[in-house]
Amino acid sequence: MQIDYLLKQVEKPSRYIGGEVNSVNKEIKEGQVRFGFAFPDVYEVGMSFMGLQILYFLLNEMEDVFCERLFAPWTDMEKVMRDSETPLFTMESRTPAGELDIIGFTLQYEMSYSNILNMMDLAGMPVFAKDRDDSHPIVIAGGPCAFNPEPLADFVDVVFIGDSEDILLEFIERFKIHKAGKTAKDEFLKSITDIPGIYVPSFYESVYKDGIYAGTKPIEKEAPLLVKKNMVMDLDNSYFPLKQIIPYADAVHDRAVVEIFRGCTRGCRFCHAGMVYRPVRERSVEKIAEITENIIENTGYEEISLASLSTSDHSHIKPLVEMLLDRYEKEKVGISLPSLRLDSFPIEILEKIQSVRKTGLTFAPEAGTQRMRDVINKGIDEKDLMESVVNAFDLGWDTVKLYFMIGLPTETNEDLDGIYDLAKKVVEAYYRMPREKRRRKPRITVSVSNFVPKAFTPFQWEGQDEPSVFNDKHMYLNKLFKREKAIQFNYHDSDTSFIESIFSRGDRRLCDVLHRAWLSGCKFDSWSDYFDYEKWMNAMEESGLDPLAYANRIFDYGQALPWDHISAGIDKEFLAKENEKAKMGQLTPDCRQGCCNCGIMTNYRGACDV
Amino acid sequence: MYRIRARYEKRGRVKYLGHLEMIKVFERAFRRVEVPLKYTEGFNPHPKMSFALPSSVGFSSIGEYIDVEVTEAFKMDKFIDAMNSALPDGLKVIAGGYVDIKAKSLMSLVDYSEFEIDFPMDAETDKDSILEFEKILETGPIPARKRTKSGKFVEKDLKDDIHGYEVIRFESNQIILKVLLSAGSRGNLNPLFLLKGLGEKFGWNIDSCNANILRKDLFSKTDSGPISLEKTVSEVEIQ
Repeated sequence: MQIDYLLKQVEKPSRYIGGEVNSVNKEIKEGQVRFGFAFPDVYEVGMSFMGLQILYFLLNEMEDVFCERLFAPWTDMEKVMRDSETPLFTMESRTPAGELDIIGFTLQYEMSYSNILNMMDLAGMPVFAKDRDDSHPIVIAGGPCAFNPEPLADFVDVVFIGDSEDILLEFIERFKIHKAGKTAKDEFLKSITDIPGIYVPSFYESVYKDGIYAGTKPIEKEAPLLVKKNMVMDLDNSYFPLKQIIPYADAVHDRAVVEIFRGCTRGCRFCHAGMVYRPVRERSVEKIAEITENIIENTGYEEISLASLSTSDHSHIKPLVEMLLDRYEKEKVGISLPSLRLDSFPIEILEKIQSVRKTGLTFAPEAGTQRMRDVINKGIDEKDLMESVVNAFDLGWDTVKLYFMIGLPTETNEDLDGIYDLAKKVVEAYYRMPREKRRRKPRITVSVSNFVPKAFTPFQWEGQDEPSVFNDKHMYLNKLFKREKAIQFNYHDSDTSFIESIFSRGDRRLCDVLHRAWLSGCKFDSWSDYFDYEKWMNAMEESGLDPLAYANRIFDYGQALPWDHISAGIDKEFLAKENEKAKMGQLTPDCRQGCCNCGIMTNYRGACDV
Repeated sequence: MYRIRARYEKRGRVKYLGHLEMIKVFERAFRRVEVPLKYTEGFNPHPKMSFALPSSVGFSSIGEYIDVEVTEAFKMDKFIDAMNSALPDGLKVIAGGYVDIKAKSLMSLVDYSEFEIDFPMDAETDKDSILEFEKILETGPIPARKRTKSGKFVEKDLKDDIHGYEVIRFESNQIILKVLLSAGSRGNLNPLFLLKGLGEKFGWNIDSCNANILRKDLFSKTDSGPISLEKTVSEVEIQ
């Protein structure tokens, strides 16, 4: 067997075997829609993604659809595949990906884009949409990065903007008609532009004036002027799987997950997800309990993660957690609360959670000074934070992670010092405890990420620091933290953040850059061992584009933005107003304390009920 | 407290699972069928289970063993059915029984491992070469260089670790060989290492990625000869 022969030559062969508990295998039949859910990164990363589990089971519940999985083979596997001319194959039935009807890529981060081209190429299909015909799969894409789809416009056939549970099913129904009637690909694409959230990039054309982006207009009458995001209004009545594939190969997250709400009410001004997934939509405690019960029973997982953008903000979080603790204490199922705002969460409940399984605590003050936290609208104050930390230490924790972002608009050295000062205060708080309470040295980790301006956020107009500026700031902080034995200081690579920034605010001309970078060998760019900055810079230069113009330039409010023909439901005026308020350090309250008129209320009537 | 000893097979795609993955697969299967596991104490409780020399990644096996401690006894056939409903395709419990809670660990019982090795080679075969092949398996030498723990290389005769053999097929492109090899902490011969040694001895070009290796069973050394680990469980069924 060919694939067997390859598997004996690679590291971690279980990445490629499929057949995990709860994975689906169907008999292949005539007339079936063959769907490939493609995650453009390695198996362990892809299998940790909740969206995969949702859409995989949603599609496979349809009798005449067979949804299989595709991942980017790791470079050792890619080599033996290319040497033996083995095309990219599905995990389930090992069908060559090029024989599928539809391949759907999920866009979780910009640095995975080169893998999308590589996977299409490994599947033996042309990477440009215009070069693919009816004999090739239709390539669709969705996910958070789809809100600015332009850097992928030449490669994908259809982009799903926003939530896609319901429109994916509608899309499949239309596809069945297309497949049965053997209509041309172009006709099919024209027939789906009325589905909410569907964007067909080839039906639009972008214009530039003096090398500056000047707008995108439809060139087909079927294409709407503005593509509005699709939204699932009622999470309780929307699909959520009652089981999960249990991954092999040490997945990054290997635990049960239930999504407890979508969207966020906080309004942090740098946060992409917090803006584009507005408004907040909660799943009820009863529904969460029901889903959890089923997933635990069907998986045997020893941990349930309550996922959302800001888990402690669920309006019934305390009763929910207490109920789950009661229910699963005997079976030793732990509860994990990612993205927790500890300033607003009672530590006593955390203590109960940790009595089952002990882990570190994570705080995300994001900025070091109150001024800067006000600029980004992160409504945390130092007093609350320190109170939570002191409480946590008192209850026996000694491992704390602190997340910060640097390069934010208006940042000065004082704000960098603030990061150091805050971390130091945390250490001091530990040593202020009576000696008998300190079992060992505290372990404090400070992680610093680099600000990347994202489409549809108040900071979308703001420029990023140049890589050299980031490097100076990293060195500055490194020097400060070097003195502190109890603090481990980490920071993100500035070159990677730079490319990410180019793509997050990019227009269609970046398709050429991406293509060139991929041709020169770029792949797995989110892995520092593979990221090759020179290749990306060369690709920019060959395309005749100025990287600084994308990543670092401040855009004018009046200037056309490459994502203006897409709507995330929030008004551009609101974003601009927020950006101005940021400069003055003015706060905007949480949605729950009063509507700030972001536009969701008027654009999606009835959607917002906070 | 009770200790179950089960024999299982690992065939098909799951043969690529590493041992740590296998542990997780079993842990979760136990939880899904609600086997009342005995947990270790501490912050990260784990079920008390252990394996007998798990076979290497890429080998098929019909002779894998696991011990697991449970807080309640139940009928073995019920246990086996429940496990087989919960394990992924390719993993199957084929026998089981109880052992004394204080019995020696599975790992310490292992002395021999039986393999069926099916591999292609590129040599002409005739009656003489079969005889020659069998003679070498019988008397050696099959010289090999082995690296010791201190990093030094020592010359070894692999024959010392071959305790039984049967040539099932010997044809121009394929040899199927059954061997009983030393296994466990007191000495271990990996069949891939044996293949390499045989290849060098006979001047065959063997691509080990084309070899299919099946572990048939694990044995313990006794005065009356090797006995299968399957025979180390109590005769009495606990009700």
